[in-house]
Amino acid sequence: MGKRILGAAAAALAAAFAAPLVLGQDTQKEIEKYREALVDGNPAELWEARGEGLWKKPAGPKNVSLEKCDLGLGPGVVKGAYARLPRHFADADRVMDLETRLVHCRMTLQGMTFEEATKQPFGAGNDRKSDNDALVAFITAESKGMKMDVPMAHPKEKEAYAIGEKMFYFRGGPYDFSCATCHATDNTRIRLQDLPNLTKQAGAQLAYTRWPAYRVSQGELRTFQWRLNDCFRQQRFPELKFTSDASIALTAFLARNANGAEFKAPTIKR
Amino acid sequence: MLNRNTKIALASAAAVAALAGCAGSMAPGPSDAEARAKALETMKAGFNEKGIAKLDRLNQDETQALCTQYATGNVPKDVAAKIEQANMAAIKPPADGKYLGDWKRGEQVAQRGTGFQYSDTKETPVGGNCYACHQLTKGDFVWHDRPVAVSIRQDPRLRTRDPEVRLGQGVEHAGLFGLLVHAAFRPRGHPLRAADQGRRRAADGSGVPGQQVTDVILPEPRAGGAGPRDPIAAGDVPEPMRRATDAEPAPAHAKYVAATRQSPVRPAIRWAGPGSLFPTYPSVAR
Repeated sequence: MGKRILGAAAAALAAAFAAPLVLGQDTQKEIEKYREALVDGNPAELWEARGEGLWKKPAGPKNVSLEKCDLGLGPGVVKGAYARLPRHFADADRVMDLETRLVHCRMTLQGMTFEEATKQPFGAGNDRKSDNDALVAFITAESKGMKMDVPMAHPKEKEAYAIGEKMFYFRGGPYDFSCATCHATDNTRIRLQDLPNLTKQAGAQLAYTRWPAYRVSQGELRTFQWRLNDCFRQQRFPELKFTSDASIALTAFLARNANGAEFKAPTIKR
Repeated sequence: MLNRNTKIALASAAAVAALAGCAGSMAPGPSDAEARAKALETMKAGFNEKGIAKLDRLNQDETQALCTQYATGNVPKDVAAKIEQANMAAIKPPADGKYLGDWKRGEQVAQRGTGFQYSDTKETPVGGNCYACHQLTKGDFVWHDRPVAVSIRQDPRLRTRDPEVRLGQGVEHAGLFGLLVHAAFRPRGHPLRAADQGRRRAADGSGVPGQQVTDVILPEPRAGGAGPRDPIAAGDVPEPMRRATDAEPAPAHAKYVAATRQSPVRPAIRWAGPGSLFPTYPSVAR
């Protein structure tokens, strides 16, 4: 009798361990197939083309283009600029990510106000297209294939990194969430979405070098500012301000951790 | 050609440049406490209240503050105890004393990931978000799977930083170990060993490793059309357990197996719980 029960328990254990694992691997393969199928013909190219046009087109009260905008490698140098951002800019004495720097250039070069330059930070369909999205697509695509090389020499760059790291582990809100709640463990996912472990270099590299991305489910190109904004929404925090120092610090932390990896964006995601 | 003075000047310039470079990269970052204070200040300035999410969500309670402070290291024992006590004390038991409610409503809460976001309203039901960490329904991979399926009991193994968790895990393993040791010492050829496994046994060819006994092969129908003969009654098999579990089938038994592989008579005996793992066989099953 005792042996019967044992036999039953052993068989049940074998089934419990083996069967779900098989399903898991199949699911993973199917997801990878889906992702591969997405790669051809990334609509992000439409944003890139529009962004290039916007970069060269005179605009704003001063009616000048952004071609004199210094993204860190000198006025007008776009190639490889994104792989070295965020960084400290002496002219503004502030650490800036790409999107903050673009706002800065549209204000200083083109004469826009902060409100005008940040009017539509993220696209919302054809009626509310975002110039920011398009410019980011164009500029980031010019860093495709380059090695991430975010500097951390200036004290303000170090400070931004340290603040970003603290923000990453900051738990708050009604669910006690921090970034680390979902992004500090290997091999996890929510439903079909893999969660990169951003506390490890490999995880940060994998995640950071694949943004911005064209989001199939939303039909929009999503920038890194958008990525962080939406993370905090799901974290049950208030809304992250576009181009705030907080957003830049967290970006600096993640970008610097991705150093050494090849930049792959704009990508395409589910 | 460079003269000596030019060379020295160039060398000095290089040295100064190198020094300047060093000074830049050697500049100290903020201390831990400074960074923490500065991060809080930066965050308070970095968010807008929106919808139901007000800025007071950035004010940490004591638990959140302590968990943030020790996020990257081990929590001191006394601090851990303090956090645990405070939060255990905050749990409200059901007022009517009934702990078992409607599990279907419970599942809805567990499966729901909305609520409390600034994109939600006050009326949006607040989910437990349980699915984000736990596989809730076995095998339902679209909604509840992870690369390696993790049950609620196994989940702490992913988060091994906490010594308490490791201890619990050890206890669990010890129980499992005992079972496996017991299983391993069962003698070879014993009927209970790998009952349904191996070539031509019940689980063979199913494509699912470790599958339970669901299909038991019955003997061939008796010549003359009187229906399948009952091997127990006929005395072909000395004890019921040998029927499906025989490690070395007797020649007579092997014949049944071969015959029924081609026979249209393929009875199904479903395994319906531990007590029925080795059921007695019906004499006729279709």
